Amino acid sequence: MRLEGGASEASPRSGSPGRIEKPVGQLIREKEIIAIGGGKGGVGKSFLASNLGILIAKSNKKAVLIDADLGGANLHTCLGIPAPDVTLSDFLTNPNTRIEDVILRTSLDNLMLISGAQDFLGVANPKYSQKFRLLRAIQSLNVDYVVLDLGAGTSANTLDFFLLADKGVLVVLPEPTSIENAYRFIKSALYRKLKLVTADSRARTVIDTAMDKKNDLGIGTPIELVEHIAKIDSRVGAALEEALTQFRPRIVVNQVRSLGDVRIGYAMQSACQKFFGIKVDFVGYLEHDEQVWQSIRRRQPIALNGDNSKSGRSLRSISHNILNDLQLKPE
Amino acid sequence: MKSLKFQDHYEVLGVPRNASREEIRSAFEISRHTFQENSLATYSLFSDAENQKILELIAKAYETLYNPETRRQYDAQLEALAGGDPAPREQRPAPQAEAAARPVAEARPARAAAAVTPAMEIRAAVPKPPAAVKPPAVTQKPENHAAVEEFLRSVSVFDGATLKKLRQIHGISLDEMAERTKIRRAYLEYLEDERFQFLPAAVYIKGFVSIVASTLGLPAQRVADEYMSRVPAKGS
Repeated sequence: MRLEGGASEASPRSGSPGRIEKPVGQLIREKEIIAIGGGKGGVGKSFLASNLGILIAKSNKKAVLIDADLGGANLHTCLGIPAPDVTLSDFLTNPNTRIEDVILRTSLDNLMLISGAQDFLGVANPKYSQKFRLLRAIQSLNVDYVVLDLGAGTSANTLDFFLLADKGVLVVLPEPTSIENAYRFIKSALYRKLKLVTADSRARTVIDTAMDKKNDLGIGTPIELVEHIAKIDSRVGAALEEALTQFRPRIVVNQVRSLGDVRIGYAMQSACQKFFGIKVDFVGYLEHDEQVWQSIRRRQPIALNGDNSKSGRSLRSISHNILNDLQLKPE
Repeated sequence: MKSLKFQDHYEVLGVPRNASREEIRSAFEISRHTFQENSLATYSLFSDAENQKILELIAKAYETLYNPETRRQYDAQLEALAGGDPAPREQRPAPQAEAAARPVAEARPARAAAAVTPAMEIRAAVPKPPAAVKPPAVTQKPENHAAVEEFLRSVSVFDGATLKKLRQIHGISLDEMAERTKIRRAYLEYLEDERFQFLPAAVYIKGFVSIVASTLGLPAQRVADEYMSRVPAKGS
């Protein structure tokens, strides 16, 4: 994948190649924000994000890939683009840098990239004001889809971006550490969401207390938490209950080696319903595939080939399911 | 979403009120897998003891809902409790529509007994728990067919010995039965030997017998009922 134009050229503000100009008078498109997280590093988030972006672009929709994994940015590498000079960090640290300055075109007309490379320590934790500025800038982009690669962990920023997205996708490997991290992510995101939903200080205190498993309120699960709060204040309880209903992450199981591994997707759905009281959509899985490893090594995304490989088809199916709000059915 | 102790059978199983028997069976199988001992999916969420409690609730829900008669009675109870309002209380009408494109597109017949190796095409079956939904009835070899029929005519009660004999006439080993039904081989042996004290709670026994009966091409409900009449009520 080639990087074309882009802000690495020193250029004045107006009209140079590589700038994304907003056509005068055209309405900003309705865009969908998809966030890819997972809690654990190395599960395949960047792999999925990059290929998802490519597939969207190839379907005649405009997409921008944003590497929000500050401190661990890999998207450009997945795409085979050399680390660009101007990145998200520049936007976040310099109030004069516009979003248009950091958007990079790619060899696919419909795909743009905002890289996180060249990030440095100070930017790995952007302040709230910077985050807000970024979000507003994203809203102003003339694209159909925004694909956010969130990176590993459960930092406040990661959780916030996940919650702000229209669709959140978690990538898991069929092994206990990855699954455990995914649940940790879900729990953190959920509690953060619950706190966002209510300004009631008593409720927020309870939520904070409940985050600790060994709390002295005896609250073990989000369901119990909501019940507890509903007894204090039924309106807040109802708002929290509604938030539980709206929280609907998607999961992708990566590096599947057997049908038993596939079943983990369904099992996690079941476990999440019982423990968190939330619905999780199992949107697909990727079989463990040498070709994937090769594609990453060579920095040639699978989705670019358009071939009929196993992983190519898996990616297309996952993409289809995410975009169309579908999930696998156990039958 | 209410906590488990307040959920009705449909909520426990995670199926809508108008779920088909297949959906109910499927949900039960998934839950059985999810909350099994040492489950990968519940590790870090539920302890083994909690898994066990959840499984018992689920098994009870399954037993009530899978039988059309008990389901009817239960539905009536629910309606009465709700003051006659039978509207399904779905959290959200989440589209469970079939994913139009899947990683596996081939329509090869699902071979329930197929062992899966890394090199093997996962395409050989559709992305679902293998044979967990409804074990396919055994393909009867022509020469066995007559033997099966004759044996069935002589059966007076579907006890463990009968199930064992049938399995043998069909030419299925215990290991193969375990593979197809995903029931532990040891449990299958206990079922056939009627060593009830080594089997888990009655709800499970009934579930196991249902599945075994299905696999042998027998009417699951009838066989299970007959078998269960032989199981003494347990202390727990």
